[in-house]
Amino acid sequence: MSTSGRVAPFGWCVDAGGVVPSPSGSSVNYSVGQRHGVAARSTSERRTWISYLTTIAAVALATLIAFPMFQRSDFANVVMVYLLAVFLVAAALGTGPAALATVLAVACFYSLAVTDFRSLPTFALLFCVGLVAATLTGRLRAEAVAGREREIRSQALYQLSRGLAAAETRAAIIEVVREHVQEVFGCSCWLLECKQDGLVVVEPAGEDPMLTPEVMTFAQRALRERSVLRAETQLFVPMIVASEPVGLVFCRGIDVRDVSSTAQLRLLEAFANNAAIALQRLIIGDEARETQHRIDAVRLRNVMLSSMSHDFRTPLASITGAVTTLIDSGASIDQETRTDLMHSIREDADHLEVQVRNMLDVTRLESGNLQVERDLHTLEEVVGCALTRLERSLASRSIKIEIPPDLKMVAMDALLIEQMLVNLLENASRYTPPGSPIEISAADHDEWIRISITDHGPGIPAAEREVVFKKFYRGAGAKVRGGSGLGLAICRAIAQLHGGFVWVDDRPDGAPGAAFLIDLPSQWEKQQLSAQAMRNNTKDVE
Amino acid sequence: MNDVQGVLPVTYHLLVVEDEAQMRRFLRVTLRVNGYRVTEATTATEALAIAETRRPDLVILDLGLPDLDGVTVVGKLRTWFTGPIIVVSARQQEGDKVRALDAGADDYLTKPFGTAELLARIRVALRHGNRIGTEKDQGVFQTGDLRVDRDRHDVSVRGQSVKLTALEYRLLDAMIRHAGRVVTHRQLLREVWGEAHVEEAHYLRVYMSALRRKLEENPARPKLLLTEQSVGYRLRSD
Repeated sequence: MSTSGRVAPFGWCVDAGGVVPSPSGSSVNYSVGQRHGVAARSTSERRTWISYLTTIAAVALATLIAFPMFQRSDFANVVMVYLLAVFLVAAALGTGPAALATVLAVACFYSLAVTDFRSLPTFALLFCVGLVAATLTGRLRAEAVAGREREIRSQALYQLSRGLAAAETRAAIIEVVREHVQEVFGCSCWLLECKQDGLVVVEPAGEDPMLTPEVMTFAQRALRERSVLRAETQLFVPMIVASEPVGLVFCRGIDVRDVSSTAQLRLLEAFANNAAIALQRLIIGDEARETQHRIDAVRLRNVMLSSMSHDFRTPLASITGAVTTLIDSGASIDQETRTDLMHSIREDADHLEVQVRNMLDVTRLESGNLQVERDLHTLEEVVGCALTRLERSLASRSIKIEIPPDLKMVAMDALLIEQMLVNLLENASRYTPPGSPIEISAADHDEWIRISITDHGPGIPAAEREVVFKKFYRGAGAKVRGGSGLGLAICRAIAQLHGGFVWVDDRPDGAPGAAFLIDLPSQWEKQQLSAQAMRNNTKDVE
Repeated sequence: MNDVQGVLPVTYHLLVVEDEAQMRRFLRVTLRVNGYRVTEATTATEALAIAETRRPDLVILDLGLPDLDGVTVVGKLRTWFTGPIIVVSARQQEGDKVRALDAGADDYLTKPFGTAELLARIRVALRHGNRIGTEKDQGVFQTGDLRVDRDRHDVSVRGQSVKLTALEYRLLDAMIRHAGRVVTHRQLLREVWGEAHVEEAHYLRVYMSALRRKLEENPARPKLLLTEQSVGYRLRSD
């Protein structure tokens, strides 16, 4: 710690009047660690009085003890008793009381022993030793106090940076800073960020920071000068990252005496810079994500284009082929072949429809501006819709549905969840032997509703269970059976949009086949409403 | 033969509003083959003008027209046109579809759709007239395994009498009034629960689920009370 009041690159504290570089740097009695300025100060004043009274009492006690020795003119021991008192006072109460103790001790000694001129050197000695002791022990004590304060400060800083490290949103960062500033300095604060169009309050601002033009002028000045600026109870602490000001912490309601020392200002600066770094980290993280997003989008577009040429052209080619056959030689081919051709056209058209839908879904999900319209739905109904859409492709299979009739309603975007179920069921029908059964079941796991779709196909090897959810990943059989490699990626995205998860596992009964499991959170505020509706229904029985 | 002499079969006149030539051609060919008279319009403005002069029996309206949005067109038509309106939408226009229905359209089709679906919608729409409510409130309604005696509030499935709560019956009754046509959530909520509850679709789902449990063989694969996802419900009609 520097002894100068002007420390650290940005350690100037300029008073709003622009005159006083204020931190004194020497004060010991600063109040870091004291929670609330006013209360803290009055107790410290009271403590000063008590310590001086204690000093007087200590010297009086020493006099009492020394009195019999005076009578025996045992001055050496009297001095020792007084010295002991001075030392004790110095150790316990600091320099001021120790000095008082010395003066009092000398006065007592003088008034009792002045008649004896032999005691004059002793008298002088007592005075000198007393003062030295007072200074030394006082300094020792001051250092101990400073050490403790330092400890408290680094603890505060540590707590703050730990809080900031865990904060993953701007709101969380602001919350952490606000909480710590409130705790250490007992005032409210706001973060202001340098944006292209000036200083902007980082949301959520909480209570109104009341940024009057005057306040903004101070803020701009603090930034320009890169120094802490104080105006009455307001304090402007610039946030500096890589010697560039990125914003400032604006404190209001701070007590000047609470930040009277350099150490405290430096702590506040450290707070500000930590907050700045945390904010910067978020911005960099966002940028990195954005870049990754762009890279993904470009890659998606490329893969989409190449996959389009295959996935779209194959059915198109077959449609064109079948139709031209029908047009050119329709009369000469028999009815059976004709029907066959027409069915194949229809199948390919359906296939194309799925491809287009998947592409649209992916772009919609990728674009990030998809609105999830959550409402309470009965799972039964959504499953029913998915099955209706797949009526034709699942016609040959037995579908076993096990949904408890009392399963609670789930908050979801029914269109999206239906799409997820359609994709999973399409998958099941594509990769399992024709005619093999598929089971759909749902169960309430308190915080989760688990939906499972199990099939009797070859299952998915453990090594591939995660990659199948990646975009454009195709299983070994996919090339032959079509499929865009998007279906499961869409499912994953939809589940995540709902705060849920979808994954694949072995069948729970151990039989060969795959089990696709979806967990959807079941807690939602509207849930109570559905319970209410259920009760109403039982009430009005005719 | 003599009995029908002089009674010409009714040829319904349909107005097809669609800006894509291929779609128009498909609709024209299919509808003519099935005995309808077809007039075509390619823009909303043209459609409104033609509708006024030619007075079609039914309008098939694409929601993706270049000049006006479908909901507005439905609104404008509904100021005087009482015949059924069927809207055609692409899959990305879920919201438009519901708004068009709430604005007074009678039914909808989502592209791509098959001929069977198209003809079924037209048949039901023409049979019932527009949704302003020509449906009778009395008599016996029957579809599939369901039989409802609306005079005696008596409901039976496969000959077995079924006991419904008052609200369940009102819901079923509302569905019967619109049998065969899609009914939006708002519309059902308004008719059964009242204007104050039009946003509470989850209410409707609870009752629909209860109703299905009583009327359907397999409530997860309903055959009578069909779900039109994010639009509403449709009661199957024979």
